[in-house]
Amino acid sequence: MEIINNPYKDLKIAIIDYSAGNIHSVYRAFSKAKVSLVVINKETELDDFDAVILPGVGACGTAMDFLTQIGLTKKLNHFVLELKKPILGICLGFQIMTEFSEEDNVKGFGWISVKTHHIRSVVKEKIRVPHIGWNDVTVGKGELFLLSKMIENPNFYFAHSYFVPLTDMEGNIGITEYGVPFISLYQRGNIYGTQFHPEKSYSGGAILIQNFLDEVLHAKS
Amino acid sequence: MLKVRVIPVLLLRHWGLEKTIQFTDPKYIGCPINAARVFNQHNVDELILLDIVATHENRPPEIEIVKQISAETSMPFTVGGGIRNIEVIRELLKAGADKVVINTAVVDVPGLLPEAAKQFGRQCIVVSIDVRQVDSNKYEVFTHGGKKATGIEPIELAKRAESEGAGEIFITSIDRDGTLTGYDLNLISQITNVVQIPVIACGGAGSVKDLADAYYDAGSSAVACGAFFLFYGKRRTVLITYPSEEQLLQYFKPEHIRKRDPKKPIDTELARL
Repeated sequence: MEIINNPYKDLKIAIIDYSAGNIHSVYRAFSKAKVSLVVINKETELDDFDAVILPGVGACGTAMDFLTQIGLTKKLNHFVLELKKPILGICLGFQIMTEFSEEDNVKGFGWISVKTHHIRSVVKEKIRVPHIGWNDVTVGKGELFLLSKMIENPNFYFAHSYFVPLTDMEGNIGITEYGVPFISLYQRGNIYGTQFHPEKSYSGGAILIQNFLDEVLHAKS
Repeated sequence: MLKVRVIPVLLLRHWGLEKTIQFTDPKYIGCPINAARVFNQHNVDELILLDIVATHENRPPEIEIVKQISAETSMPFTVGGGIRNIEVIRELLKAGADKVVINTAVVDVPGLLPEAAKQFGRQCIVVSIDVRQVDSNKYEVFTHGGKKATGIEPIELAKRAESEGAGEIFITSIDRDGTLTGYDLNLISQITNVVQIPVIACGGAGSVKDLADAYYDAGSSAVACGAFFLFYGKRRTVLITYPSEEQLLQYFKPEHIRKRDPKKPIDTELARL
């Protein structure tokens, strides 16, 4: 069905391809909203885009090396820290937004001042890692616009071994528990992140993506 | 709390969907894309697609199938069959698969697992182990679609796969495949006891109780089935089904069952394939 007066049609969104991710699924999920999408895998000016998506899958070290190699790290820092435009990190894309990841001992972007850890390094009880499958996301303090128009405490699809810990963060986060409570949904200013895969989470994921696009529209106006 | 995953398994021969009994006697079922569409309508927890002749024909799975399924669904899915190198894994993930299944190459291609885990993360690497019972309490791993005996014990291979970078073990009893007589709980328990990565049970499920037994008694994190979700009635008429939340609740605790999307009607014509 054609969306009449589609509010998202003028949005220009960049999807970063580190050549180790599931670009196709993310691309399809966003293309349903008929936004203008560009996949980026080399040095490109980002300033004209309304938002950037950092997708999931892959290993942290490989991803950061790739971004530095092609010269995108600086452009992304400029986009996020100076232009303050919306960015959504999914799974690994969310983890590399943090200060540092134990994974391969790499440095992340540091936009979120917290360190990513391996589940096994924190949880000593018997638990199977990676954390794979569907789990609850509950809202901590405050409100989460990304979860609006959904059932209460929806389930999303996860596949990861590393997690972003809660530390002393307050509000605007979604929490999931797997041996340890961790941040599964993050929202601060122009920075958005999900530890789960909205593009693989049926209608809940589709609503979340639409909510994000509403935020992008809002930021643009 | 993490939920149980109930996973339909689709066996492919190129673009055709088939189902076997004890890895032989393949019966043509229909079009895998249509089957994936119906399972997507059913809101399944995950889908696994395995090309059962890919290794024999020395080729990877059809990448176009992966692209089409990724385009038409919004569920997690896993693809396997004939995967022997990093580039094929990269292509499959890029096309929209969330995870890949490696079976024969775990035994045949040294170094593939560690490299795959390093490049893509272990969460997307599933190692599949096909097993026959060769003696009263002795199991043996078979590769090449169940045709080649390896002399390796499943426990040994599962431990090795875990140490080399597997993110999950997909354990299949060849003897139970397609029989609907229940999982080999002894085999599954042996594997779940020796690894600390999730284990997917496969081979023989014929009822929701069988699924719950593998989850609660044998400790598997996920339960996979073929025939149970593809055939209907004693005559084994082709009809795609999937247990409802209510049916699962008869044997599973509520906190272990995923909250699905609000109910939408299933295309029953399409479900007959």
